[in-house]
Amino acid sequence: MSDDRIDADDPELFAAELAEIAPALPSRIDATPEDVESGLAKLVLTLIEFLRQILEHQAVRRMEGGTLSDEEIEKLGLTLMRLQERLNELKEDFGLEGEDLNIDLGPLGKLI
Amino acid sequence: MGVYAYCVVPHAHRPPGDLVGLNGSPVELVEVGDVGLWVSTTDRPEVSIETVQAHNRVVEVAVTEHVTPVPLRFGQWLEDPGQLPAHVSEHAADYRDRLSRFAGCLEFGLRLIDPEATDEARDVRESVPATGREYMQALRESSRLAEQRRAYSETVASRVRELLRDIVREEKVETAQTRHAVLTVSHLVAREHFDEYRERARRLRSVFPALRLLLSGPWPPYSFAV
Amino acid sequence: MSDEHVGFPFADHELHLVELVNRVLDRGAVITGEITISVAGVDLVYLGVQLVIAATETARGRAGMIRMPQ
Repeated sequence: MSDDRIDADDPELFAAELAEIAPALPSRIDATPEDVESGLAKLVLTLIEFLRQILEHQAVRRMEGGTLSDEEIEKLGLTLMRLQERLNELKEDFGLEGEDLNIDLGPLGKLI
Repeated sequence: MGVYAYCVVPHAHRPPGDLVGLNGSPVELVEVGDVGLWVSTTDRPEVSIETVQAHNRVVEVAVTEHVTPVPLRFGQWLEDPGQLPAHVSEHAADYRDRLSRFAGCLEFGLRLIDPEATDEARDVRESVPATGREYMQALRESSRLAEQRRAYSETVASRVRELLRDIVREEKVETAQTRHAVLTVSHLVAREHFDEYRERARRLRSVFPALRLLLSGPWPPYSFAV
Repeated sequence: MSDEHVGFPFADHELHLVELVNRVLDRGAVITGEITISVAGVDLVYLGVQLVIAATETARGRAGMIRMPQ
């Protein structure tokens, strides 16, 4: 195979772009079995995040359906907003960032 | 000590005697029914750039003009080598199928990004609304923008497909999105079309002058092994 | 854990490395879920995750039926 395998228009731009997905790699590279606890927190928070996104999606659909009263929309929005805030606090407590909250389901791809 | 597996190969496809794998260990062929595995007897490997490269080096040695192995993901290590045959037999039919689909082919990667794009959906989502209604409106706006972006990606994807269709055996579109990503796709391409593929992929620059292209490959078909 | 991210060396030729590492760590066939647990973090709970796959698939399928808080 040839060594010349990359042809990029703007290598620096791509380097910056790919830096977004790169954090996932060093965190795995650094990981040790002592991280089990953190891994578990990650699993639980990921599942909550997954459900939160489903709820938000549903909420938007309900709102667009036009069947919700103003009061209901306000209540729903506040509930979801608080849920997001609480989840962000929890993420911070466990030192997790947005992109950390995902699960590789192997052949099924990423959960979120 | 345990056994570390690099890739699945056709029956009797032997590694060169001097091939060195992870932790300096020799690479051997283990045959399970009518497929083979290239493995090393070694301790559980550490994950590092070096070991990842070593893994890939072994996989690439298994590639010949007519044989393309099914690359395994990094980290396929078993403490008890005796368990290997059972794990392999379980997937044997799938491996045979992939080996015949991959023969004579390798994968290329295409990334198209829009340097001007801003992830508005994300920005809207991360804004700080004061009321429940505002939050709901931000959610709706965010999902509308995300939908718009998906639609544009789909348009680009079909144009790319059109351009490459007759020289691409299989495609795998990646959903993981970075801020500027428009399309991230891997293609399984037969050797005789490598030059033509590169040439046509580069043509995408004039098809989408506003986008930036990253073309990479050929790689062992990691993206098609899953 | 996120504090420990070592900077990824980004330069022109390192794009090659990113493309490679991305493929070797994230793609490629898996012989069995059990042995991807060689890397800690989320992978450690891969087996547990397999158990919830069925549940999440169901959740996705039933997303349309989830009741919103009233």
